[in-house]
Amino acid sequence: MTTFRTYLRIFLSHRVYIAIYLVMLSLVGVFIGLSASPAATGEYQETSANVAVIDRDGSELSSALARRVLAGNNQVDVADERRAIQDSVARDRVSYLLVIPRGWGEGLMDAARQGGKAPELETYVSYYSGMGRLLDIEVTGYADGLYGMAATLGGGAAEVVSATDDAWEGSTQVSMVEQVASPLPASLVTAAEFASYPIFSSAMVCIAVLMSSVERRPVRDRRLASPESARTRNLALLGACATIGLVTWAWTFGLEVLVLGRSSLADSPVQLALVGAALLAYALVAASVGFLAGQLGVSESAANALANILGMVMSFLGGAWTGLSLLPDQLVAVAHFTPAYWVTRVVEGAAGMGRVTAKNVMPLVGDIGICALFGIAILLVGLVLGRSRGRSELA
Amino acid sequence: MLASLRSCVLSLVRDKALLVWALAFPVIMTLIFMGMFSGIGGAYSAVGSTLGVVRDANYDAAVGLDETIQAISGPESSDHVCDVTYYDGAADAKAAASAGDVDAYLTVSGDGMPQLHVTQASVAEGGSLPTSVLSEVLDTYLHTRSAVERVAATRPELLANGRAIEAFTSGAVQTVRLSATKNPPSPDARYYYALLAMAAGMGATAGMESARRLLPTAGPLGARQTLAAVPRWRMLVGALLGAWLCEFVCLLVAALFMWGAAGVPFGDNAPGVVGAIAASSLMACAAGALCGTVPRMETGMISGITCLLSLFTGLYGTASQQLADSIEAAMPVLAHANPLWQTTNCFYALLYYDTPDAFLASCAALLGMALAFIAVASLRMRRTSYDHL
Repeated sequence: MTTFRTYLRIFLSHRVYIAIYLVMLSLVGVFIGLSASPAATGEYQETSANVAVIDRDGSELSSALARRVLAGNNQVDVADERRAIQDSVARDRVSYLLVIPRGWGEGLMDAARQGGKAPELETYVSYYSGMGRLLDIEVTGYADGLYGMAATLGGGAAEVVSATDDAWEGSTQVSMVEQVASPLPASLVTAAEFASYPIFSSAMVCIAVLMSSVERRPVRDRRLASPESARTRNLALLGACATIGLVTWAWTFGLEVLVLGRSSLADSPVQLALVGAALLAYALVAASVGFLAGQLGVSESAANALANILGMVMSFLGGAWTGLSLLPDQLVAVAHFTPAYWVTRVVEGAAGMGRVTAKNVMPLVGDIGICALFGIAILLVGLVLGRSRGRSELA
Repeated sequence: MLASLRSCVLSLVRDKALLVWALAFPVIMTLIFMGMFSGIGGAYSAVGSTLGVVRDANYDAAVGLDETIQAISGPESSDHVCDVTYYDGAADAKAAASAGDVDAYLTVSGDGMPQLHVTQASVAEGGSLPTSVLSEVLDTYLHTRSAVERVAATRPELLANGRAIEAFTSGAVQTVRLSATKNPPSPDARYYYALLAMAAGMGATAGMESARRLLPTAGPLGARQTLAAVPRWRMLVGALLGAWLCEFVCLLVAALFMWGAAGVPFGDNAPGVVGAIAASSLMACAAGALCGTVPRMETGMISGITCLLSLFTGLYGTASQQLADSIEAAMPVLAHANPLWQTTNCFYALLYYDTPDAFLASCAALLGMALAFIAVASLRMRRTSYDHL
């Protein structure tokens, strides 16, 4: 027990690592969650694109078109300058930028009278080209309406606009297919997916730092010379590692639930428990990787590098940052070999669970088990390596 | 100065930590990104979904609805946005949706209004865009139908001879796609640039290690160097140049790897890219040297700080990019004070802008930061050497 307490004191004395990795990175996760859409996944929300309109025409028709496009979307103001247009499109600040050329309204009225084609509208789309498709349907639909009204009923621009606007009332009703269970808020899901990185890197760094200070030659000699049995000595070290893993998990997950998921505690406790259990399993995996690194005698700076690189690689491969649906199939095949993948599967599965039944929950519990098995396997490797290293050094 | 440069380069190459951070790290992450982003272009352009259609009396009674559905579901159609399965009743369609066979299903109410029912699973997986596209198509159908009805009410002869429908559905207004940027916008370039910036930031450990070796507290070697008859600033500059040289080479190789193996677009201005890498590695080394003069700093802190700053360059996925963008829009000064942001902006300006001013401004900002770091570091260096002797 004394050694265990000493280990924890060593862990606590590395305040900088705790502050940077544990506190700061988990706060980052919460911020990312807060910036994700706050709505629960249960309500249907129409996609609203970031749209900008540059109206060079300024006619009644063009301003009616601009009004129509901006309604229901996020309006972004973009100056009619090349640099501003470049910036907004390249960064996807604007997914769809519509330029109504000079004389478009006149041209459309003339074309409608003579039955020809109306002048083209100019658009810039960012790489989010799906959004461009959506807005194109909206823009050409309304513009065709203007054209049709001008071609059939005729009259001045104002009449054409008001007739079209009258017809453009009402919209398709979209509803979610009902599901019994209330889903987790999207912000919590995003934060929980991101959490794999802070949990992994902080647990691993803290443990590796602890191990490297414990394994320093004089300390190590003193430890080995003590009358304590090897069993209790190693158990104390393992206990300290597991405690650090638990602390990282409790802090990260607790913070997320407190800030983002208080409502889910009552509404969807099972899903929340699944997410928590998955992250806990992952924290234990991180702890065993840290233990392994310590057993291998990895130096402090190398442990740092390993924690960051491994943590990022696993989070990316596991789809924690982009969602599993974005990953190509070959990569998903590879991702099966990382524990983070199973965690993300549990988080995504729990988030969209339609009904809390044993049939839905059990596969996710299985996934958590697989993640835990990774941890146990790595832990065993660490134990065996430590044993053989200890022997070879004694010999 | 040359001697400290040489010893610095030698010790950094022997140490391998720099190689890990500035070379192995970006190369490994590039390999991962390559796999990840092979599908991301498709994800940004995908609007497709599977739609169940309840084919009952109401559906058949809705004029032109079936034509609209066929137009957007035809496999050869350029307007293809969904694959359609027909069901006889709403209950069948709902069961299929619950089983995950279709993403959404369509019913028509008694007054001819189309209604979409979408499953939570499909929204959770693919976002609401595919559904929005479907509902937009249906909206356009609905609005056009109502427009034709209005025309028919005042001038029935236009409906009879087909001119009314023709006028609304001939597609008389088209949009044309223009390109504003020098190169087409790329969704993954941003990740790679943020990765390069992070690797540069992590390379600050090299500067830190080299500066630390000069400190009198660094052991007998440090003490001897402190006593040498060479001004402290010259040693510092020598060590710094050594660290910079190493990091620059590593990053250059990493960038070459990104360009060659992953096909990351860097624009056509190769000297500009090299300049950007040189400026950002110099900045990082100077920052590292400054950290090196603070005795309590550890290498772990540099990586932690770099991780944090990378958040604001948008490295950690879409959510962090949105956060970075909103901070940049709300507090541009804060965003621009982030050296890693300046690094990414250098590459970004080279890729997208046709004028060099933004690139030069970012490079100047990086060099300015580097000079400031060096100045403070050499001041601190003098103080630490006196304090500790």
